[in-house]
Amino acid sequence: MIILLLVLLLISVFFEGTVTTLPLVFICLVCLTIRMRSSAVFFIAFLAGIFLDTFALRPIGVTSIFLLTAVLLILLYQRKYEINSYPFVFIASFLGSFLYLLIFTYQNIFMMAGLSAVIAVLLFAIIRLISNQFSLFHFEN
Amino acid sequence: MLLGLSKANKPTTIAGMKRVRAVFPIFSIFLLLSLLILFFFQNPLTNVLQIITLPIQKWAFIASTKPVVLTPQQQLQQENNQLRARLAQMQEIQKDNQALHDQFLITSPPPQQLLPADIIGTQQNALLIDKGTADHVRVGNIVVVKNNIIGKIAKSTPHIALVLLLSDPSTSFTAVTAKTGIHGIVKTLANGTVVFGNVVLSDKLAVNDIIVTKGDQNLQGIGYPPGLIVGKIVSIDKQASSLFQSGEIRSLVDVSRLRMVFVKTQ
Repeated sequence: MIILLLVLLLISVFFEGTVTTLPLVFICLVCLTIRMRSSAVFFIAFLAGIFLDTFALRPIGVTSIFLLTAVLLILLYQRKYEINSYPFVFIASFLGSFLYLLIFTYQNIFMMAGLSAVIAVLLFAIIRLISNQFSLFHFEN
Repeated sequence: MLLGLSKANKPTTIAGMKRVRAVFPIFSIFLLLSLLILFFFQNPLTNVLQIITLPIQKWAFIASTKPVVLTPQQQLQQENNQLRARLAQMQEIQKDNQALHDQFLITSPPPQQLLPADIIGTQQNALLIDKGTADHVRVGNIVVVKNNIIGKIAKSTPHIALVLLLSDPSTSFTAVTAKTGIHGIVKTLANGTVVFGNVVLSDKLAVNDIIVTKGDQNLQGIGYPPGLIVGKIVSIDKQASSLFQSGEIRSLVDVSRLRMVFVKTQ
């Protein structure tokens, strides 16, 4: 699952930097953080931010700082509360995407943040489904 | 309890406790690294990263955009637009001849000043091209396709530049109608609509009038050169109670179908 998410993250970096303005990288990172729940996500967030800044022609390091902060907040939140749930994914994605689009001065922020949250929930649902099927297969074997 | 979620179990293993405690130091390291790059290593890192990512960006952009296939109606529309552009150009040439400039062959802009650039990405109201300061592309340079204005260079790094399209709300420059020479200002509204405004009520705007740039260049040659086609008027907003009238402009070029543009360098 983590490898799948990493591949999706890589594809998101390319597409967010070239074709779309949806914060796909942020969405993938939220799902990855929920699955991995370890500090290794910081390294992935740092790298993803660097490459995203290169593609989008922003000052290199800006997106990394944003993504690192987002990952930190999620990891701090998961100390106290459960994060492996649809409401958390939706609200975290919505708020994070909203801030991201606001900071990097995109337009139609509400609509795009809403769409990002929906995509995040769908991705989370698919990952969960595949993970459950995989666990079931291993259990039966 | 936030969001009605249940409290997570605290990590009971030593490894779990160490993992949780390691969050801040690791975050601090990467944050410091990001800040160092942001404030001290921008230029060299940008140069190196763009050399690596440019081919990938080009491939990703080509892979994600559909090839251009025009229907017969679209082909006719394109031909119509080309003929209108040619007609506007002829009218410009005729005016110049009447002002005793007929001994010069006017092409706007001159071909030797044009630098071809491939489009490698799109952003909101902007394009990314594969030319930058290493190719003498500067902020303020105009980007064209044939003699249609596409936008202006807003940011230039060693190998990539950002082209701000006419649909960006910061667009504003003086322009005239090709046929009648009516003066006005091309502005872009918040919703991305390009309008030819500040036209006095006594002037007669017509639908399908071609709008060309008037010329807004400074001493360094940065700015909008004269005679570039902005688009054609598709609707007019004229009210007797207003001071000015305006017309909505639609570009003769479909930017979403472009693969290559030309930067007017000095």
